[in-house]
Amino acid sequence: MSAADGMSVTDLGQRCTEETHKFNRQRAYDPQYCFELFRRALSDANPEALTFIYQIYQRQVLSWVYSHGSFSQTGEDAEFFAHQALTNFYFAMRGDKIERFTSLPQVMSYLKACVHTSVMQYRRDQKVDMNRSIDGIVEQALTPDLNTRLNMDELWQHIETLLPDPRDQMLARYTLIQGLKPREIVQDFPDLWQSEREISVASFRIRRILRRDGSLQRRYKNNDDPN
Amino acid sequence: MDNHLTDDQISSILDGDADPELLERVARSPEDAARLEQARNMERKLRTSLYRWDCPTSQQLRDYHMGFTDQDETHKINQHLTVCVLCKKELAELEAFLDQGKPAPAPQRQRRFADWLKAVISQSVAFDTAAAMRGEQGTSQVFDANGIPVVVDTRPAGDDQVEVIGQVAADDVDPWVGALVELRQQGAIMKVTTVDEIGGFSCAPLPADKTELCITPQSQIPILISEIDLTL
Repeated sequence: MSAADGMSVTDLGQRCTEETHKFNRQRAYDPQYCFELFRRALSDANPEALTFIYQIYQRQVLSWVYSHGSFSQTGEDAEFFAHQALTNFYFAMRGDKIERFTSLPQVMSYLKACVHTSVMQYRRDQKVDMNRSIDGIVEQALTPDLNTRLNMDELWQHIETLLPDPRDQMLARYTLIQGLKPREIVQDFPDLWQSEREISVASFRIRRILRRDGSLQRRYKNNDDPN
Repeated sequence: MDNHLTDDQISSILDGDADPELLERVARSPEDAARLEQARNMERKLRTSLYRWDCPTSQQLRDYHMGFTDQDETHKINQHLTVCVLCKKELAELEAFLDQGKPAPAPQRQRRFADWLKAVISQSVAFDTAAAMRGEQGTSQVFDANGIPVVVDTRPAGDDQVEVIGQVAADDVDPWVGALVELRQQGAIMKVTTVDEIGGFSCAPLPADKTELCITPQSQIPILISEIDLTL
């Protein structure tokens, strides 16, 4: 049993604040109080512990947002991502899931990873939103539900049937699903495609096949929501 | 003779390879222009609806990286990574981000939720003045967040402090159970708690001051009450 186990949440919060200050000043620190505070906040759902966690780590999370390489491309406030990261962290780790961690650095690493996912998922959604608004497509849930997914599964199977050559299927995947440019495809798959010209010719053929397909024409002709 | 645009001609225009003569012809013919537009729209919609449709979410990739996915999910993501450049890149960026040294401290500022949070903003719809006039201690304020009523009561908790007792009065309270409740004053976090099994929450003690309240459920847009006057 560690010293932190028997402490009140208020004492733990104070000790964790002090130890975090030491850590920030690159002095020797004792992680047990903060680790126990996280455990009480998430495993015991203790509101006082949760409040301390927010108060102590909010600025740390915010600084991670500022240092994320893709943050500046979002055009969004850092506070927004910090809030998302803390919220995602809480929902991902509440209950006994916090028991997966055996040390404070692991917890902090996961919290930092939550910053990354909040920025990256936002960028993905942003790209989809931008295309949808250009296309005038009715907005739908950002994370596809099961029905949408099944629907897309069927659509993709249909496209694969139209393109029986595995190389065509792969190229369709890279251009349509991943939105890669010919230059990027040559860079990433030099063994499969040697030149951008080769990709453009194949892509030209693939698009013509898809455009001629009656089922795809019906699906996309006058339908605002293709899913 | 059929003068309609052929598929090859449409493709060449969409690829930007068409000769100027063909482009002129399309510009002169509303019928050709309409066919071209239809083909262009179909391609755009196809691309939009297919974009990363089978990629794991960023959260799933994070948990995969941390070793928190089960065997089945791990296998699926492993398979996916063999064909997905974007997910591989996202994972590599995650690794690099986690390895990054200590970041520069964030600027010292505390901003209101309302300035940056994407949330359903609640409107105040009622205030129980009768209770106040009867001299009852405590007040009740009702807010409406897109049809979901949120009731907030305050009770004195001594030394100019109050207790805040709230209720998410949704018809279906289940999505709100366990939601995070954050209370801020002048941008600083004062209390964090969670919504209980019947949609209620409470926090104490809090200074009797103007307060922002945000309720964030796991899978819905948060509700923001940008100003509750706890001094009432």
